[in-house]
Formats: sequence, C-alpha cells, structure tokens
Amino acid sequence: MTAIPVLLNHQTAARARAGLDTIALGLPGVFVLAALGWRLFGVTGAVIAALPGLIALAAVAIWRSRRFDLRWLIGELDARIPRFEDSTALLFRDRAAVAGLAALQRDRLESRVHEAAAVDLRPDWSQRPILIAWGAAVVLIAAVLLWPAANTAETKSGAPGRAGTTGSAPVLTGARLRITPPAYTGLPVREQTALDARVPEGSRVEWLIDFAPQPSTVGLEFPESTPVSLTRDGRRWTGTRIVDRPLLYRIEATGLAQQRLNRLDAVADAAPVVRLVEPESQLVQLTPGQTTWTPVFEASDDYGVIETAILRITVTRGDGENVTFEQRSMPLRGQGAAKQLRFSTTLDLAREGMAAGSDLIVQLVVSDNRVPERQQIEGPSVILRWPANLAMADGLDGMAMRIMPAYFASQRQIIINAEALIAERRRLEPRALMDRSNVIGEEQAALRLRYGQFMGEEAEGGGGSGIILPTSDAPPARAPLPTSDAPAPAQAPVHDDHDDHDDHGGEAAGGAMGSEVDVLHEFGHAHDTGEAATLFAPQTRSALARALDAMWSSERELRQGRPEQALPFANEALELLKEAQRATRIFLPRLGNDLPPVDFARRLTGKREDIVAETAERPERSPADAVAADAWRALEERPGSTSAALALGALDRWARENGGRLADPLALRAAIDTVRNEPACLDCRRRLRALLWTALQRPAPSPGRREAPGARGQRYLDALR
Amino acid sequence: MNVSSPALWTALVIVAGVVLGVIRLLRWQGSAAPGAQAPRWRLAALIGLQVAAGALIWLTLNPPPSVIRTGTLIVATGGSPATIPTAPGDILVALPEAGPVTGATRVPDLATALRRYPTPVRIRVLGQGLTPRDQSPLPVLVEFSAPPPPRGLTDLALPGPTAPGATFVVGGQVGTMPAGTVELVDPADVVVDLARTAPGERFALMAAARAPGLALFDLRLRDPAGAVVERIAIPVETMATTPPRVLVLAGAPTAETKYLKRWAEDSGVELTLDIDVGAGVRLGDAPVPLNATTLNELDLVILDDRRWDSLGGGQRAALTAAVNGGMGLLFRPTGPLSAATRRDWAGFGVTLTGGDEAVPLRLDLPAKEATPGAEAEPAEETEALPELARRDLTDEGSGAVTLLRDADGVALASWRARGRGRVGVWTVTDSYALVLTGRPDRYGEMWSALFSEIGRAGDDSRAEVDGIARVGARIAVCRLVGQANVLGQDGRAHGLRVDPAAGDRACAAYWPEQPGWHLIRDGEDRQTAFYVQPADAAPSLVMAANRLATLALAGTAPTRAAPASTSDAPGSPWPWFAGLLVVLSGLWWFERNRDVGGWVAALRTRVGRRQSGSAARLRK
Repeated sequence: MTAIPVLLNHQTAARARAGLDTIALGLPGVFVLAALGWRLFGVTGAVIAALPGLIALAAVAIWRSRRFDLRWLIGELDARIPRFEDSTALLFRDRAAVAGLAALQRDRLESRVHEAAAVDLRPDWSQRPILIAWGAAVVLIAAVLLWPAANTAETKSGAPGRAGTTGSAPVLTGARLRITPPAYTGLPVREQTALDARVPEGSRVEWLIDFAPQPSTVGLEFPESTPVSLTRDGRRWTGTRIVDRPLLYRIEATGLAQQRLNRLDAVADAAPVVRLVEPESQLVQLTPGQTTWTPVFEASDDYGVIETAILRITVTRGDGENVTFEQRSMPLRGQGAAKQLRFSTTLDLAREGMAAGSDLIVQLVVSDNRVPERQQIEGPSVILRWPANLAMADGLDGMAMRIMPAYFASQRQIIINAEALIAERRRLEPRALMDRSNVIGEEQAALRLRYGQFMGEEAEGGGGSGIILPTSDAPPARAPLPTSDAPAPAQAPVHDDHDDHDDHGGEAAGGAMGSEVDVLHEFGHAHDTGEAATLFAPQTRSALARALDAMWSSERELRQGRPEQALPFANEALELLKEAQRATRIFLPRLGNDLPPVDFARRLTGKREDIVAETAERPERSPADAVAADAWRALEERPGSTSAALALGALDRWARENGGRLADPLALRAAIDTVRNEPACLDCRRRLRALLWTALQRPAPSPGRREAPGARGQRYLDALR
Repeated sequence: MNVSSPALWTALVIVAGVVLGVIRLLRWQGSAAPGAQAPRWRLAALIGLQVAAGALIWLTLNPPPSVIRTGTLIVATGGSPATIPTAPGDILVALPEAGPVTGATRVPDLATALRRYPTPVRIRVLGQGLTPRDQSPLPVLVEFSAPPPPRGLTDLALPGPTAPGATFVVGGQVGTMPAGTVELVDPADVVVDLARTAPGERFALMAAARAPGLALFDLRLRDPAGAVVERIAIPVETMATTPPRVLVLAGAPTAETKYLKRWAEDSGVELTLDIDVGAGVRLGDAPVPLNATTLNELDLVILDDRRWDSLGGGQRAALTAAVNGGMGLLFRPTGPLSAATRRDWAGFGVTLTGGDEAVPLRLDLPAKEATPGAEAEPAEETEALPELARRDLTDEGSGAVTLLRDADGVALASWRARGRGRVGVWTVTDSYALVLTGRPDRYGEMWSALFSEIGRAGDDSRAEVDGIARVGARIAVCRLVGQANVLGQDGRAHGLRVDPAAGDRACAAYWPEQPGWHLIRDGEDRQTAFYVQPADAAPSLVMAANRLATLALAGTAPTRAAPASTSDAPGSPWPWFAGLLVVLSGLWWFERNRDVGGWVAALRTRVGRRQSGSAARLRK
C-alpha cells in the first residue's frame, strides 16, 4: 500500500489547484463588491459586501475541486501512464480482495508506481480569465473609490465616518449658556439651556454648544457687533463675550441651517436710591432749645452700596442780600446689609456754627459698588432752618419773595413831566411848583443812582430797597445753594469776563456770556451787575459818566424849582443815555408790529383782494411711522391682497433708526430677521405684525363718513319729507 | 280626481286592460270547438281573477291612506337630558347636536323628523334650542322651556369700519356669570380697556384704531379669579376715508372757531372758516357764497346763532334745500337764542327746550367713580378733564338721536334726519378747553363724531355681512352688485348667487369653511373684508342666539291649525303589491292548466289510491 499515497498526492494537488484557480478568478469580484460597500456604507458595508462573496467563492471552489475524485484519478492515470496498462483501478482495491491474475497484475503495477510521481495531473491555471478578472477589478475598484464625493452627497449617501466636513448637515444637539455676572454683583455663575437670556450688564456669557456631526467652523453672528468665533474643545464648541448692552445673536456653523436670532438682554445696574428716613420732610424748623440734629438716610441699591458715604453740610448765615455759606463734607459709615444701608449722624448745631437766621443743609452722597465706575448719587437735601425770629416763622417756609420790583421814571418821562410842569407853571402857585419840581427831582435822583450803580458809584440814600434792584424781576444771579434735589449741573468753566465785554455788542452771536444755565445773561441785558460797570468800553463809560453828570445837574435845578434850567441837562442826559444804550445794546428785529399803513379806501368795505394771502400749501408731513404702517398693511392676512410687498430692508432700517421710540426694538428686529429667513412661517409674520402695532402711533382722530342709507333707505327718507 | 290627474288616466288604462282581457277570454271561449269549451266555472274564475288583478294594480299605485294616531314630537337638541319621559303616542327624535338619548330616533335635522312624522299635534323642544339649520317657521305649535342663558357672552356688537385714529366701541352682554371682567386686548397683546360685568348688563369697551389695515383685537371674559372664560377675536378694519368738506359760518371769531380750524388742519378735514363780524367785515377764509352749487359740494355746514340771524332768506332756503339733498347742518348756539331763531330752527325740526343760561358740564366722572377697578386701568394716568360749559338747551323731539352725552347723561349733541341729510345741535361752547388742557384727543374724538355722524353720507361702497361669521354657519352677504365672489384664506374664490327673494337688498348666502379674513369682491370690484371666527369661538354666543331664536319660534303662531287626534298618512303599497303577485301567479297557473278538472280528478284518484293502498295494508 505504499503506492497509493503517491497517487493520492496527485489528486490532492489537483484539488488544490482547482480551488486556487477558482479563488483567483472570483477574488476580484469580491474586492469590487467590498470597495463598493465601503464607498457607500463604510467599513461595515465593505465587510457585509465581502463576507457573502467570500463564502460563495469558497463554496464554488470546493464544488469545483470535488470533481477531482478517485474515478477521475484512475482514468487520468490510465490515460497518462501507458505502463499502468489500464489497470490503475487495481491499485486502489484492497489487496485481500484481489485474487488470481488480478493480484499478479496489481503487483506488477505496484512496482511501477514510482513512474506516476513524474507526471503532473494538476489542471492548468485558467490564465486569461484570471488576468481579465483582475484587470477589470482594478479598473472597477479605482472607479468606485475615486468617484467624485459630491455625487455621493447628492445621492444622499454621505459617509459620516470619513470626515465632518463632507458629512451630512450638522445639527445643534445641545447648547448651554454659562453666565458669569460681574464680580461686584455677587451673583452666582449660572447655566441655562435657553439661548435667550437676561443677564446683568457686563456679564461674561460663555456659549457651550454641541453639534452632531461636527461642523468645521462655528461662530456667533451679532448683527450690530463683531462676530465671535467658537473654538472646539473635544466635542464641544465654546466662546465667550462680555454683554454690555442688549444684543441679538445667531449661531452659525458651516452647513448648519439658518438659525433664528436669539437675544441677550443686558439689565443695567440701577443707580442707588437715597431715602430720607428722618426727618419726614425736607424742611424742618428748629425747635426752641434744640442743640443737636440727627438726620437719618437710607440708601439702597440692587447689588450693593459702598459703606462709606459723604455727608455734605452747608451752613448759611446772614439774611437778605448778605448771605454767606460755608460748606464742608464729612464721611459717614452705613450700617446694615450691603443692599440697604442706613446712614445717620448727630450734628451739634453750635459746633456747625448755626445762629439765628441760618440754615443747616445736609445732603448724603452715596455710591454703589459698580465696576468699573461707581454710580454716585446725591440724595435729597434736608434743611434745618433756624428762623431769625422763631416766633414769627410760621407757615411761610421759604415762600416769601425777597424781591420787590423797582419802579421809577425813565429819563424821557422826567423830561415829559418837566415840560408839562413848565407849561403849567403860570397857573401854579410857586409853592406847588416847588413841590412838583422837587418830586421830579427825586425821580431824577433815583434814576441817577440807578445808573450810578453801573459806574461803581456808592449807593446813596441808605440802601433803599427800591434802588439796588435791577429792572428785571428775576432775582439776581448768585451762587446756587445746594438745595436742589437733582444732581448739580456741571460747573461751567470759569471764563474771562474782560474779553467778553470788549465786544459786548456781539455777545448774542457768541453766546459766551456766562454758562448755559444763566438765561438771564444769555438773553437779557447784562449790565446790572456791580463789577460789570468797570468793564464797559471807554466811550460808553464816558457817555454814561457824562449822562450822570447831566442828570445830577438836572436834579439840582429841579430840586431848586427851576425846571426850565433843568430841561437842557435832562435832554443832554437822555441823549447820552441813548448813546450809551446804543453802544451796549443788542439790537434784535422786533417782529409783529411792522404794520402796513391803513388803506382808508378799503377800510370797512370788506374787500380783501390782494390783502389776504392765498391759502398756504400745507406741508406734507409724512408720519413718523409710515414705514411701519406700510409693513402693517403688507403683513395683513387679507386674501388676494394686492398691497405692496413687504419691504423688510426698509423696515429694518426704520427700526434701527427709530429704536429710541420703540418699546422693544430688539424684539422687532429679531422678528424682522425671522420673517426674512422664513418667509413661509405664518406665526412669525403674525408676531412681527403684533410688534409693529406697538410701533404704530395713533394718528389724530379723523372723521369718517357715515354709511349711506342705500337705495331703499333713500326712498324712505325722501318719502318722509 | 280631475281630468289631468294621473290617477284618472291610470284607472282608465287599467280598466281598458281588464276589459280587453275579458273580451279575449270570451272570444276564445266562443271560437273553441264544442266539447273543448272550458267549464263555465273556470271562465268565471279567470274573469274574476283578471278583475282582481286590475284592482290590485290600482291599489298598488294608489295605496289607500293609513290612519295614524298623532301625539307630541319631542325634539332633543344640544344639552338635552339622557332620558326623556314620553307619554304614549309621543315621538322622540334626537337632532345631531344632542348627546346620547335613550329611545330616541336619530334624525339629521328637524325637517326630516317632520317628514317622517308629519302630523304631530305640537313640537316640544328640549335642551338649548334649535340650531340655525332648523330655525324655520314650523307648521305646528312649538313648546320650548328655555334653559337659563349661558354663562359667558350672550351678545356682541362688532365695530364697523373705522377711520385711522378714531375710536371704536365693542359692546356686548354677559349671561349668568355673577361677576367678572371683560378686557379688550390689542394686536400686541396689551389690555387697552376693561370693564366689570354683571349678569344681564351690557358693557362697552373702547379702543382706538391706528394705521389703515386689518387688525384683530381680542375680547376676553374673565371670571373673578382671573381665569379666561371665553374669548373671541374682534376684527377691526381701519380704512382711510375721504375727509369731509366743512364750512363753518360764525358771527364772531372765538377760540372755538380757531381751535376747530386748527384741528381740521391737523386731521385733514377741508374746513373753510367764514366769520361775518357785521358791517361787511368778513374774517377767516375767503367767503363762500351760499347757493345750491356750493352747498352741494359741502358735506357739513356749522352755523352759530349770530350768523343765522344775519343770513338772508335766500341763503336759508339754499341751506334747507341742501340739507334735504343730503348735506349736514350743525347748529351751534353760543348765547341766548332769540325767539325768532328758535322758531327758525324749529322749522328744521330742531325744537330746543331749555333756558338761556350757560351751565357747566363734566365729560367724565371722577376716575374712582368711573371704574371701580381703577388700579387696573391700563390707560396712562391723565389729569381730570376740565369743566366745560354748554347752553342749557336740548332737543326733546321724538326724532332726535343723541350723539354725545356728558357724565350725567345730558345730551350734548343730537341730530335728526331731514330729507337725506341731518340737522344737529351742539350745545357745548368751549370745547377748545380740552385742547388747552392737553386733551386734544378727546376734542378730536368729539368733533370727529360730530363730523362723521351729521355730515353727508359716504359712497356706500361696501357689501354687508350680518352678525358674526363663523365656520360652518351660513351667513348672509348683502348689498351685492353684479357677480360677486368670496376669497377665502386659501385664495380660492367662491361665487355668490344673489337670492332673488332678497329683493333690492341683494343678499347671497355663504358657508365659510375656514376661519380667518375673507374678502368679498363684487362686480364693481368693491372689496369688503370680513372675519370668520373659528367654530369654537365663544360658544355661549351661539347658544344664546339659538335660545333666542327658538323662543321666537315658540312665540309665533303655527302656520296651520292643529290636526285632529287621528290623521291620514300615505299608506304602504307593498301589501297590495304582494296580493297582486299572488293573484297574477294564480291567474297564470290557472290559464296554463287548461284541464283543471282532470288535474283535480287525477289528484283525487291519487289520493284515493293512496287511501286504498293504506286500506289494503290495513287489510293485510
């Protein structure tokens, strides 16, 4: 039996050859399938495509090798080796079963078995088909793998496993806002999932956004501000921004569908509020015997009040014109919680220097803890009044006017009076003439003293209240007492009066005489301040001085009962005064009394031709909300509407320009943006329309028309007649 | 049975057929060979059967009426109880709105029920009442014990087209809810007006229109706890109208004329001011001659008493003619009226009563009296209106319509129709004080009302929709011209057919299928927008309307007298038809079997044989 294994080796080799041949033929097909699967569905696709192919290939290979069985071997050996004499089959018989001649023949063949080792029974490689198959496979695989990627996206068969850039559209899977309020607020860091937020002003907002699949770039677009690009941190995109004003923003990412605008409202830090706790009213009278005073203030703020505040103490002394005041500040420490502090101090009235007729004015200045700059607020000022006469100080708290208007005759009036006196002098007793002349002389004196003030002359006649006062009824300008509740206006820069008075006539154009609040100086005649008299132009000064001299002469004559002699001086004084006035007065055209001469031919005839102007064209005022009204009409849900198309660009511009008078401009602009990006969204259009309603103003009520009665109604009405 | 009735002709045809059949039978009998002749009884039977068949055909075609006993038709509508007691003979039907009712026959509508059970003595309606589908005059007496009115809104008056800036009023009534508030909410969801409600009392809410266009306000009824009970959209169409042309004739320049002129310029009214101060001196605008031509171009003339005194007879006649032609005329007494002026004005129908004094008036009650819920007042806090003065005059005539009232209900302005125009009186002498005290809006509202109500009528270029349109409920669209159609929200146009029975109101019906704004366009391209409420908006309005309509039906007399306790109904032809079939098949069999006697004999022998057989068996 040593021969049979040799022969069987031939069979095994043939089988192996057949199997390998089959595999060599089929493998390219499997590769093509695997490539296709990979291209379409990734690695799993490749595996899924290749596995059945391999199994089928193995099955075919086994099936093809099964042909090479024992019978094939015997026949092949018989055909290929003549020396086996067509008796190969005997070799595969059991020795015991072979007898006689057959056994002899078998022995002979066994001795020739080694000759069989030389022959090659393996089938040939099917070379051409294999070559063709591999060639075709290479071409096909190259085609499958190198086919343009866009085509695959177009057929909605992206390969997510390859790269995020060419993957399907990214979707926002999670977003959170981490809001870090400014440290001074003491508010904790909070996180929220909503993209709209109300944050304290100055907060740092950090966006933490997840996408699936990952886009290549992510950013936040702020329509009115610089965009923020987010950075990738693992699977999460983050970015931060300080929110110091209300903002709209939108999350943008490559491939991400257009998002709606979200809004961040910056809640401004409120200024602290100072409340007067004690006393109850801002003006209190000193009670007799009072030596100390304890005003109590309470300051509150939304985040916190600085513990140290300043108490401004002003003590006024004197009465009437002669009021002086003294101001000092003292620090105060508050007590209580940081958001609501209570400040109080006890003032010793004697040490503050109060006397009868003084006011003690206190005002608390507090600031909150806002960063970077604190908000400083001056609280209400409280006045403790020590009336000059405690018994009489009832009821008229600060109500009495200290000023009476001055009445005196003008120079022209003096001349007229004097002329009238001269005309009447023949019929008058000398005594009466003397008296009346003296009266005119007193008027002349009053006028002279009045003008004399401008020249820096001393007031004579003992501080008569009628003389020191200006012609204007307004109180003289003086340094304002800090009694105002409002924050004090910014101090105007101190300017040099000397320069201004050199060209006094042009001061209206320059408008630089005094600060902005000094209306009296801006619009009135400014010569009623004492020191200004030394600042007139020289010729004006000399004219005024000569006028005073003339007045004095006129007065002298009048007081002596000689009005005729006084008259030339009075006239000269008038001339000089007019000259001085011309030199220093601002001439403005006076409107309204430039009347045309009366046409007596027309008078009382009722004829108005060429007199009454044609009806002036009414200027067409387009209402401020015309754009909004157009959009309101364009957005209405009138079926078959033919109204103008919705001009979103113009509306957005209008909303930006008129943001000040809109209740919620951010919401309006967000709604405009949403409607622009989603024209089909009916709810968005309705929301925009609702916001527009708030932007519309109610026009002046205009009368409509009552409804017509209709044909039948008209017949009825006609029949009633 | 007259000559033209089909019954006569069918009877004739049947009789002719029967006669022909009988003649044929007799002729067969006569022509048959002797001996083959049928027995006489057979001939008689055949003839009898033919006559019977003819009679049965007649009865099948005209079945004799059956006699029915009549009772009450009990109709269950929405909100009916589930079990309804019935007396014998009553018929219980349930309309589709009714819930499950035991033992009731479901009918699609009342008309079907009346067709099936045509002779009830009376109809008793249970539940909330008949829906518009069934609200037609009924032939018999209707009983309806009305349920209490619903809780929510029972009535609502929607505002008409409004001019920009003008105010509009939404009125209504609330059913049995003991207390609550109604709010009017503007399109931006802000409450603009609110009022307390009481059961059965009317409320009125006011708001101002803004830019031209369509707006939807919202009316919300809240219970005392603040929960919304009902809400309904209030459609408001704001339309810019052509401003009226007004001529003010005054006898003296006053602040009133000055501020009227100013307001007119601000609100686009074409106002000519003509002041004749006497002695030929005219102030104001260029004077307008008072004649038919100029007055026809004016919409309203405002005259004070001093100017009236100085008018000539021709001018007065021109004014009268113009008022009859449709112009408005507003008298503005400024001082004591002379007897002549009173008489002249009475000639216009304006009979003024009252003294010659000026009396003070208040337009508004003090705030705390006006609205008990003043803390919820949404309007900005404004100063109280100034006290105005008016002449102590009122038009007490029966035809006078009060236009404006003060806080105490005294008429400040009233008008009455004269010809096609209107003549009004305005007794307030210093309305300009409203402008001076910072309330030009109130001033404008009052003068707008005067101008629009008393001035010449507009062009009447709108179709008219009655009531509140609602999905699934028919509405009547009137004043249509030409071929009209309705555009729905989906953009499809539905043609309207004008009902010839509507006469010159020219109405057509329309069934809205979807909520939202609709547009009526008619032959002259006039457009009228109307709003269709969703089917579930303010259901109590529908309930109240159905209840009222059913009560009205119950109140009207029946269109025919109550029938007797029994009545006829068309009988069923089917029994007669069955009899006809039996007779015809008998006739057929009898004719085919000629030898009926032989058949009978054979039957008899067979029976006899069986009997003999059984006898033989017995014998065995």
